[in-house]
Amino acid sequence: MKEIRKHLEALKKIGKREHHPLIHRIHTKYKISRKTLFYVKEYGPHSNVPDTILRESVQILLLSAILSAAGGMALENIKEIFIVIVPLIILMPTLNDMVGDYGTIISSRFSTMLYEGKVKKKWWMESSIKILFWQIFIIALLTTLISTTVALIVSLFSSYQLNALIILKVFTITIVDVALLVIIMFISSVVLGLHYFNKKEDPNNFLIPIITSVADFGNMIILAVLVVLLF
Amino acid sequence: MIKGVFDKNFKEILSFQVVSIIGGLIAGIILAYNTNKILLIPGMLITLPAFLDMRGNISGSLASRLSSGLFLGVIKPNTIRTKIIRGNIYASLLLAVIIALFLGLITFLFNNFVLHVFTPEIIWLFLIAGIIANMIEVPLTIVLTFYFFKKGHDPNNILGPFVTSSGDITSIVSLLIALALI
Repeated sequence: MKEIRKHLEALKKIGKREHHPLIHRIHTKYKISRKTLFYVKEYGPHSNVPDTILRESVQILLLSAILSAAGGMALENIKEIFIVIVPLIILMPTLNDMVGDYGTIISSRFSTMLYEGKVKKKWWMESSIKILFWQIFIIALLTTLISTTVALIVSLFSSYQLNALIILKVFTITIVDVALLVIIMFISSVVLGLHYFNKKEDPNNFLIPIITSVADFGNMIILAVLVVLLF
Repeated sequence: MIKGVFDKNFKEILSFQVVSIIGGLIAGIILAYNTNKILLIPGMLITLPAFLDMRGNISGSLASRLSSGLFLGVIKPNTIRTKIIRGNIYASLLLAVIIALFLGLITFLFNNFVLHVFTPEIIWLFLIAGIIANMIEVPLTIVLTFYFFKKGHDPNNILGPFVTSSGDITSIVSLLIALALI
């Protein structure tokens, strides 16, 4: 253990963009992954930590912001209808979080399956992929039902007039929204994951930002369409 | 296949998601009770979802980087005042300022060219709210990452749903504070 620490301390002193034989030696001798060694090299004492983080994060954060804003324009167009539906206002942050979380889970688990060799040519026949889909789908529906119920109960305490028809419409909107998004995210993860993996690129680097951005954008658009159709 | 669906993964994901939706619902309730202050602002619905996401993205990445550093031994669990932690704090603040300014600008341009409403103060609104949210979330994320690591847990498993939930609440509260200041 002391020897590994000694080599890792030496690794921190290497210049930021240098390919150094020490990295290969540590990787081969101690079986520490190159990505781990990469972290140690990136944030060593000679690196500019804020600069590294900014350069690598700002583009994807801006892209994510643009996609969310594009989806938000759909909601802004139906603002007069949307802001009077109190249960949907309560549910807006929750739905946003949920679809992002499910997108992350689907992308990262599918990427892992690709590396483990569990994805063959006829991926739709693989039991592990079917299990992943049904797990996320069922959990998404359960959490949607729980959160919609809570939102409807809370809105009873406001001046919003609830009746059986409105309750049914709100449940329909949230369930259809989440179900559609889980299906879209799943298909996108599989198609894009296979595409990047077959190009010998790491799907982890692409799938999560792309799928969560698609989820954010899709969530707003689907919500706007359903609100217009049902209200 | 049915047994395979309801395995350990299912229970873990479900329990973390329940934690996550609690924060979202609290944020939604605060939003619903302040509709006349927040949502009636022109263009707010365009950038509010992105503003809520921004908090989760920045804090989530921060927690993940710190966790990696703790597990690798690059960050010591009893020392918070290090170059890496300071660098992460500066980077999180700068990212929040850049993204908040960008969101404010998008809303201002949409209001100006589509809604024909001139609202330059909306840029300040998002900037101030972004800074306030950052000042609350970043120390909280750092303290909790170290706390869970010292207790023997993997912060990556716990902090993901927590930072998205607390990020929603912090963002809405920050917007209300920023509105009161402007």
